[in-house]
Amino acid sequence: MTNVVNEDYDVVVVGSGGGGGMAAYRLTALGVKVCLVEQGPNQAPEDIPMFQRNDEAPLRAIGTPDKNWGYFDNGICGTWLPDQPYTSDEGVDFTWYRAQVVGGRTNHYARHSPRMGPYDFIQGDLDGLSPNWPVTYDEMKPYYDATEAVVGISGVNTGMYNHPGTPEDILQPAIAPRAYELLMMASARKVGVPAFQRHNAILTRNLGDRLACFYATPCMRGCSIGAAFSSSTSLIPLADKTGKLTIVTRAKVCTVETGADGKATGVTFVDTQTGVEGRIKARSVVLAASACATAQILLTSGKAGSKDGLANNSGQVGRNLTDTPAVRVTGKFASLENRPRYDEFGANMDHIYMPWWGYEAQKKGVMDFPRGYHIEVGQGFRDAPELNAMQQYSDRNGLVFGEGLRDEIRRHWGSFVYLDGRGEMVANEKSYCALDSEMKNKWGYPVLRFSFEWSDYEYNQIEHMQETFSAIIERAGGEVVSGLGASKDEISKPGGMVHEVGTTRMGTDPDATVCNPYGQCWDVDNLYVMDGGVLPTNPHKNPTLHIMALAYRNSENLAERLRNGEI
Amino acid sequence: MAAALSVVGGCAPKSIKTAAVDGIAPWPSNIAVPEVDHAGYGQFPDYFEIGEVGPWPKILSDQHKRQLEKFADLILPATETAPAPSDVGIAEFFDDWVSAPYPWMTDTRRTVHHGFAWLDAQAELMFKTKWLDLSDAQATEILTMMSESSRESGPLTQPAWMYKNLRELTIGAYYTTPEGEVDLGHVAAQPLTGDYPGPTGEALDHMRDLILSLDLEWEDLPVGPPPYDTSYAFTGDEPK
Ligand SMILES: Cc1cc2nc3c(=O)[nH]c(=O)nc-3n(C[C@H](O)[C@H](O)[C@H](O)COP(=O)(O)OP(=O)(O)OC[C@H]3O[C@@H](n4cnc5c(N)ncnc54)[C@H](O)[C@@H]3O)c2cc1C
Ligand code: SF4
Repeated sequence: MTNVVNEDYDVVVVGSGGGGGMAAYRLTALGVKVCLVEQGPNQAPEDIPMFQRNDEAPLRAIGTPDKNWGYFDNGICGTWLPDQPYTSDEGVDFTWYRAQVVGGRTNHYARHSPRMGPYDFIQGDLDGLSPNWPVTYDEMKPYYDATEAVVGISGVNTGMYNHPGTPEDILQPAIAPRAYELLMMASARKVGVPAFQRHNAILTRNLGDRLACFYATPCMRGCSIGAAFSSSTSLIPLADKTGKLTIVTRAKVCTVETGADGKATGVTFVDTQTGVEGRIKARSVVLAASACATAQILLTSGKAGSKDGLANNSGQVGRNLTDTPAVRVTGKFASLENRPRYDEFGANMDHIYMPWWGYEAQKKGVMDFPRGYHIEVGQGFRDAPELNAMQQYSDRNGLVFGEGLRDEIRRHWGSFVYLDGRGEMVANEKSYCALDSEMKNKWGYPVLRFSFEWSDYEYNQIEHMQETFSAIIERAGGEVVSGLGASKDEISKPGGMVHEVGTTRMGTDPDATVCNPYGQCWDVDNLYVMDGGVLPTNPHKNPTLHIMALAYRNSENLAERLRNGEI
Repeated sequence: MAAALSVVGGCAPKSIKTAAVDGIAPWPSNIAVPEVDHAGYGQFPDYFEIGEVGPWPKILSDQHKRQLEKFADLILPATETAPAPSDVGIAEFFDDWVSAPYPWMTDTRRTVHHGFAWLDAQAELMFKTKWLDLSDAQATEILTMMSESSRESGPLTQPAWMYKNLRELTIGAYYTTPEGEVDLGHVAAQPLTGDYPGPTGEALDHMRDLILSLDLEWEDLPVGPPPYDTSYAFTGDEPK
């Protein structure tokens, strides 16, 4: 890598995950010359360890401080990136999972891809606890369609009002539910909770150069045939084909540079291998380093001595940080002990889910939490045995040993099913990220400090999940074995669901938001944000599809402005 | 997502018991434990270079390995159809584990070094011989004692922790081998062409019987590969 990448790019895109990958794809398709800068390395498809068994790895492939999500995990993700630490306020235990590889966290995300519905865009009107989005569902629908057409979505449409479907000519056939998924569907429906096959960003039919899933390898390691969508296999190769894309890897962007007129002139970066600094010049800059990393770049880009950073006249950079509140309730089913064995792996990810159904009840004010959640369903004997998951099967009868223990473990294998709640958090004053006043990263730039607090909205929602999940498990004949403790103890760790968004909100008011309705920073005409930072709310519907649909749309806005000379 | 990190075996208590209690050997916590301070496999390991064990030097002696094998083989004795842990590389697994330079292997490293010295001493006290020379019946007697003792208080807290920790690792390491998988009856995924079929006939029969016996609906469930019945609808969330 050269230190100074000095070409006349139209756009420098920072980060190659969901947002950055989509920006590079759409911009290059529109003829724009893009330089994509990524702090991690590139990984060739043939280097993805798809088929290795857990015992073909050190320590049976469990997570370590080097590879937090497991030895084979593709995201090269971690909380403990040694060169890039972060801090939290006292009493706050924020988990900031980051990626450092071309493709970002899309290389190993769980591919759940529900659309937001009409209500999700107008929460300001519905409960007033957060602003409306500056776009409506109807305006976003064509961009969802276009995004899903390139991403590739399999599943069924629910027909429910606030869970819009995918056009039938785009939607690929759903994947057959597993045995335990059928049981949970039947039980949920009986207790009044809808249950459907879910939308996964996993191909069940070939799409372009990408092949349909062959149902045998853990998607979180990456999918070299491109069946599981990831930015690195499904967007960046398409961008590359246009001849308009340059990729610079192992380059960590530190700041956005601005000229005398206040416009962005490019970015500075540090080569993570050598520590040598460089700069890339371009007519415009797109930040898509993930919500908090983008906030960090903006806050670091202020004039020396200024705490406020760039594009922060509103003071909102880093504010409105939300994650997904979650809880897991696990059921043990005597009826599933020693059940008939079969290949339960499927497409590895969940094939079904339960969408939120309580909008009317919430409008009537009969629930003590304002926002929805959905339910994910897992375990059975879907995954290959893992070293630190065997306890559940071996310890039912105390810590016995010797004859009989094998039968005991075999009997319980596949007889647990868990329900995972994924809720919506309402942004609050106490949840934000800012620059740490003391600690610096390896290259001398300030690290992020997190402040975070769940509110009663989230705790009440967790309690509702616990009650509902117990009802579903018990109606199916199971016994709840964990997850029913006090909501304050059972709620997921802040950041733990890796859905951190909102730190550079878009909106219609320059005093209250960082970006305009197209993700363009109010204060810097040629600077855009295209990651989860712009999301004004964080619906329980996992964020990546919305991030990408917005990046698709907002790239068109940027391309148009580049073309007509506004930039 | 599930928390990706969890400490196997938990933390052994650090308190040191030296006072002799009748019939129980003191925990030999003065025995030196090798320092491990080399690098791990890093954030970008070469999957095709690194094999089943990490790139760190291994620290266990042959004697430790034999002692661990004896322990593991008592936890999961071989059957007519399933091999013993010692036949599927349990010693190499433990050597990799206790030699790894990551924080949560530290407890096990100490446990192995102190624990097998304790087992030798205890074997000496009870049977006038070493752990490796005990008959299965004698060794089982000691393991039973360890398994039934409190990890919170009393003279056997450390042995009880040792038992729990090494038992858990033995089970986890065993069932992640191909032989362990077969014994578990786990059907490993095989690459398929065409749609994933879902449960086999036998598994579907079991599930249909169960669902019907619970007085739940079977008919409108999406069973097997596409296309699917779409008769089920949920309309509760429509605006009024
Ligand atoms: C285990 C797991 C499961 C998930 N499951 C789902 C799911 O089912 N559905 C869903 O919708 N979402 C899911 N997510 C969340 C999803 O991964 C994120 O929402 C999505 O990847 C965010 O996209 P992004 O572009 O904002 O950030 P990322 O995908 O994280 O991409 C950011 C990129 O920027 C790079 N970068 C960061 N800082 C810099 C810098 N200073 N200079 C240069 N490059 C930089 C990073 O290396 C990274 O490649 C999951 C996440 C995890 C971890
Ligand atoms: S299960 Fe399918 S989608 Fe997932 S990694 Fe394997 S081939 Fe790819």
